[in-house]
Amino acid sequence: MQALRNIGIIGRITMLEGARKQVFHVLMLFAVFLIFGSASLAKFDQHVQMKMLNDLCLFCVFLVSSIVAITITVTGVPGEMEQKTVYPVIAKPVARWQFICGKYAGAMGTVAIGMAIMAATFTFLQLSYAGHLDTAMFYVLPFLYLETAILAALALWLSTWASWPLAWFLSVLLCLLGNLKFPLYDSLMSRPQSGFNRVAITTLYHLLPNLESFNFKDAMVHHLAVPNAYLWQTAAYGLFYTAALLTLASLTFARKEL
Amino acid sequence: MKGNQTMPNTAIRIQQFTKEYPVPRQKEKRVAVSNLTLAVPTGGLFGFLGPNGAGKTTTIKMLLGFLPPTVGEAWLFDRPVGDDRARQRVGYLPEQPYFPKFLSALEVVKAHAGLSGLAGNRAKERIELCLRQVNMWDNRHMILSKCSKGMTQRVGLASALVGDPDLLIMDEPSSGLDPLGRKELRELLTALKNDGKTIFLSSHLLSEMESVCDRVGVMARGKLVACGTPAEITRAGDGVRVQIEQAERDEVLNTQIADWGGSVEAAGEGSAYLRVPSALVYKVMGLLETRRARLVAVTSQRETLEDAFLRLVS
Repeated sequence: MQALRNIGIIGRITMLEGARKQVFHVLMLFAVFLIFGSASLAKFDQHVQMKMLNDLCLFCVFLVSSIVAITITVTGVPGEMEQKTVYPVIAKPVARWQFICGKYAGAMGTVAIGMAIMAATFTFLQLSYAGHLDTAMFYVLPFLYLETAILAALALWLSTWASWPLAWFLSVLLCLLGNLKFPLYDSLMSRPQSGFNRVAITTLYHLLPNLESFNFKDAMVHHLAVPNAYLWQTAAYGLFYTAALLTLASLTFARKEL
Repeated sequence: MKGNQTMPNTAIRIQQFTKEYPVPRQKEKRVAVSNLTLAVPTGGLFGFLGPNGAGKTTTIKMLLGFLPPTVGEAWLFDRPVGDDRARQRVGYLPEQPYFPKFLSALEVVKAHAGLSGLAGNRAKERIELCLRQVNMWDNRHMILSKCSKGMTQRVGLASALVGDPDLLIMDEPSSGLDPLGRKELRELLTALKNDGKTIFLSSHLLSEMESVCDRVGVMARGKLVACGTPAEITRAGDGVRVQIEQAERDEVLNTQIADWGGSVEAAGEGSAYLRVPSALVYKVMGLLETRRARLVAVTSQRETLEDAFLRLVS
């Protein structure tokens, strides 16, 4: 029970700190500006306009949420160590894994605030242009959040052993690879490869997060039906992957000399 | 002591603590702490002294589980320091406490109360008490980025105290405090000591330590070079220093003092210091009366803690 409380307290501090930073406010203004901007770009007949609006707005939400998630988590733990804010917290009866989970929860809380602001702007635009709300938003946005949750966990794990610029770079690279892994895999495997290369490529393919599976943007834009079973399966995959990364981050941080 | 928990006799027990760091491109390792064995009894104030790089902060970091020792073990109230619960009864004030800049003093202390396991009215009471103790209650809503160094230090102190710890580990607690703040800190430390708390305090301000410490440990080059009460550590001189005032230089008095094995040192216009064996102090009084010199002060020539510290670390 106290462990959960500790995670909650550290998470709350991290979220308050993250949401009060000027860089977060600037990013949110940028996102709102981008979402409104995408509405002015989509000047076609109403049907096409709604498709473009949904497409551009969801891309904005994903882009800004990913930037916030990666930046906050990648600088969180190294920043705490560099600024020595970690000492008063770890000096309390707080286990290292609780600290990691708290930092992660706080970062995801900040991302949730940002996403809520962007979703509200998106909803306003939908109601203004279409006069009704696309219900697909209710599963598209949570899955985008789950995708950023995986990215944040990945960035957090990287930040426990790499310097923050390297961790940021690797996180962005893995985000791109995770979103392009199907075409990349097909392209690499269609060429002649040695046995070792084939094993290496297949291993990497399975280790990399399958971020594309969280993208239901096309389903929303083109009004495609998504089976419930697939949604549950994807959610379970996302939660499992996040838990695995948090476990790795906790194990790495537990061995770290502060 | 809280509830029915029994208080062990030793708050901190360190056995053969050694910390070595690898030096890049060299086979030898840098030894930060070497074979440190120390026991700090419960209750009282233990001063942990040493010059920069003596290994004080490394020892504190190992005690709090921030760093694993290369060799050795330590216990806080009989719990090994590797166990997170060992820190349940410990409050820690780092040398320069840093907290998230965008939080208020109240938010920080509240978070630390929660992390110490306090909740509800008990937490509220402790938060208010501690913020009042460090004179930050009126500024509790101030964001830390707007606080001065001294105010941040006070918030750090309140955060360390809020869990009502039995053991307080403080690294240079008076750094950043003004003279008034230092006086208040001394009073607070004395009050905590009188409440039965154990205080493990690392400081460079030796004159302050001398007045409040029950026991001190002196570290030099990673080793504990002395440990005991300030009286045990300082050397007792066998003489006294007598400050006198006289209208003009008195050669008879000076010769007599020299004959008794003492010395006379001029100290400005019409003033002088006599250094004489303590056994002769009454004879000196008689001589001063005869020679019509005015007695100003008689002080023991016992070594100060600062003198002892310099002797031990040199």
